[in-house]
Amino acid sequence: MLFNSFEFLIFLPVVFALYWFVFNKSLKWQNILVLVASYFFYGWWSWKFMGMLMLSTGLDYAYGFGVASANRKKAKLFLWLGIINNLGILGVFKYYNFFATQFQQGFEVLGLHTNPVLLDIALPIGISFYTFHGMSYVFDIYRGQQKPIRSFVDYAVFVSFFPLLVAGPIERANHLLPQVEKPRYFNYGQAVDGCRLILWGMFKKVVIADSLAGTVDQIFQNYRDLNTLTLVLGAIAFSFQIYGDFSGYSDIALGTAKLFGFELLSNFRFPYFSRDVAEFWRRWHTSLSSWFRDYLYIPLGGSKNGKYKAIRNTFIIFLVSGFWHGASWNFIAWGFIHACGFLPLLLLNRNRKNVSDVVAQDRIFPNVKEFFQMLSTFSFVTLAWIFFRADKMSIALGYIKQMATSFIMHPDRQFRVPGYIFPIVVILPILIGDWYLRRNERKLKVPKATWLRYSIYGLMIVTIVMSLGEKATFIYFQF
Amino acid sequence: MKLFLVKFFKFSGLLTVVFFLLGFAIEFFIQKQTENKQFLLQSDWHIKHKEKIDVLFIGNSRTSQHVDIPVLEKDLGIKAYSLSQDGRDSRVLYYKLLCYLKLNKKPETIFLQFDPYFCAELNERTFCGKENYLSYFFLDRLGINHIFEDEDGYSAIEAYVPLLRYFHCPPKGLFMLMLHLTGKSYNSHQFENGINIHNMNWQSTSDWDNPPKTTLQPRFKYIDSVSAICKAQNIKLVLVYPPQSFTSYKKVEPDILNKLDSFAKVLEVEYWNFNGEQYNEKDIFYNHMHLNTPGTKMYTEQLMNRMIAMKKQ
Repeated sequence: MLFNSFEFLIFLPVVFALYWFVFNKSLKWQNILVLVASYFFYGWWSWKFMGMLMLSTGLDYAYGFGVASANRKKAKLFLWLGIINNLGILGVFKYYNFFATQFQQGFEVLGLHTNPVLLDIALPIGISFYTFHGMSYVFDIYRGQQKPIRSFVDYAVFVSFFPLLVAGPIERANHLLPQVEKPRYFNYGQAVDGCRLILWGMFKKVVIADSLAGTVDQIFQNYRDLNTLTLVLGAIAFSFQIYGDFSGYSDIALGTAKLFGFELLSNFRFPYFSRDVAEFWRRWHTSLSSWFRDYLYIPLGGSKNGKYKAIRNTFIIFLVSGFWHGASWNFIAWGFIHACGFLPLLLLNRNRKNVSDVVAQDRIFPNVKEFFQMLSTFSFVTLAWIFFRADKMSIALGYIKQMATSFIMHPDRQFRVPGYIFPIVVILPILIGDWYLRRNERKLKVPKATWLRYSIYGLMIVTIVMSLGEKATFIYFQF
Repeated sequence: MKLFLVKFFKFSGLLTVVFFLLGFAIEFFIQKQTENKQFLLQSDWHIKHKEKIDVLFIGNSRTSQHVDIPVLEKDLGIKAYSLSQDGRDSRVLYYKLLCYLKLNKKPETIFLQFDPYFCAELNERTFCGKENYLSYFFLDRLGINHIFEDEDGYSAIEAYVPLLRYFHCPPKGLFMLMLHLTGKSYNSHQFENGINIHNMNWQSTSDWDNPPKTTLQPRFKYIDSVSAICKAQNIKLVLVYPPQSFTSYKKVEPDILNKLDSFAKVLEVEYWNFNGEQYNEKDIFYNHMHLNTPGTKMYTEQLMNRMIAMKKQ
């Protein structure tokens, strides 16, 4: 079920009530309730793939004990079993057809005609996320950062906790598991923060992202007939659509988890206020980028073995990250572009420049330099998003070519419906809101005056409800 | 927990009360405005004529923009009304006719648009473009909501919950409706006595010689339903294929034209197809599908001549 659906509106309070009023006396039963609710949530999407989720969970749980063995050879064997198992599942469902097609095309170039068997199976929802949960568990045990967990229920809750099951954030065993194993107590402040995050997330998703979706679709479908300004608008609109969609979902996930006494990892920290590409990747989908850093970049040597290896590892990370998003060359190109944007910072040792502070930390407005840094980073990121949004490489390249060559403002080549004003009007609230909140993504700053606070809540709720209509799914569900 | 639940329910309760109060206020404002601007919005679902209407024209923009009602009334000495709705199909107008017949005396003759564009079912995301009629259905004060009971996408609760009634209207129905009511409609037409004449020259971006092919297959379910009503109420029904540019008419699949002919024969009603070489000039169209002012004048004259001839028979 979707977060912005009537079903979830019923599901959440029912589970909340059972969690805090019926099963609150027993941690074990509370966790069982969360597990049942999570499988119910997942099954609502597709009961057919529940078996896959259960199998993946069961196997990783078992591997955990093998990886914890004192015998390092045995431990390594189970580690590789865990990696192969999870990547194998991902490979079959997500990447098999891509590789089969690429091999076929490769053979065609050599003059060999092949007819590969292609799989006609749907991609299970959340597979890219729960397989990564499983892998991080076995990795952390192997490194001694986590002990294998005895309770299968507790482990299954870690893998399939419903707020993060289908689109993250990608949690770590040593962060979420301790919370699952310990009793939770209702905290008023945490619950209020949770409600605020849910509200803000819903606003970003329903009012911002869904409103922009139609505009973006029309521009990308008709890019050949549109002029430069309209195409730039389309790219910017998509930047905010994907941000509103994904960060909105993450906020709802974090907020929902808070209602049950859990603190999840942050996933977005106002990335469009980044001053360079490196900072952008410390603020965008941070659960994924940190996962790749800890489980791929660092094991490859990170930046410790000379500049050449650091560059190699950086490109590997970004290409894999692109590929994680989809089995398509345009996603790989998106990753490659970001690697190219990151490279100058790495070579000049400026990739760790803006780590601990946020732009205009102690000021209301950015200074001129910061403004241009944000603008240039945003422009670069938006250009890369074109590859992310386009269905194919040829469309992305065609879009950019059209954007670069169609400067003439012919009236017929402008996008008329809904025009330029509508996207700008929609984007402004998210820009203003995020700027106001930029110092803390986990505890949203709100006005002190009660009447003002409640008026804002009320206005947001009414706007969200009035904006509901045809529900668009979350973009990241497809990954 | 107690504090959280108390505050949560207090806020929810307050929000609900404020929403309903504000909602009712906005709804009554909308109703007042739409009563004054019904022709601008073509949302004349509640129209109640004091006099009996002799001739009713039913269709979409190719009816509302092509038939000059005041000229027709003046020259033929009859009362006529264009019960049309731009951009809609036979399903919408069938329901509009039902509402009309509930509130008005039956006309003597109905001229029903009958072309592939009107007969094809549009891909409506919600029933009938709800923003067009919801304002009139509030609290069912007209007593016509039951007409839509069996239609998919209509819910009786929509008659009673203010503002939320509009949330399924695309695109953002209430917002667009309010825009219309403030006069800032994105569809600025020049209206005159309920009809809509375009005093424009050729506007289309496509070449005159290369209009798209029409391959949309017609569906006759609602045409049949209108025919049944007319038979039951002894109303004369005439099916009318309004003019489009002959260049584009030639690109309608022959199979479709045959189906229109055949169905008219099955219904045993008169079928007037006005298309032909006489509609092959750019000067009388503003796009391939719509006549401009000189074109409307020409068509209305032809229509009147046929109506006179029909009356003589």
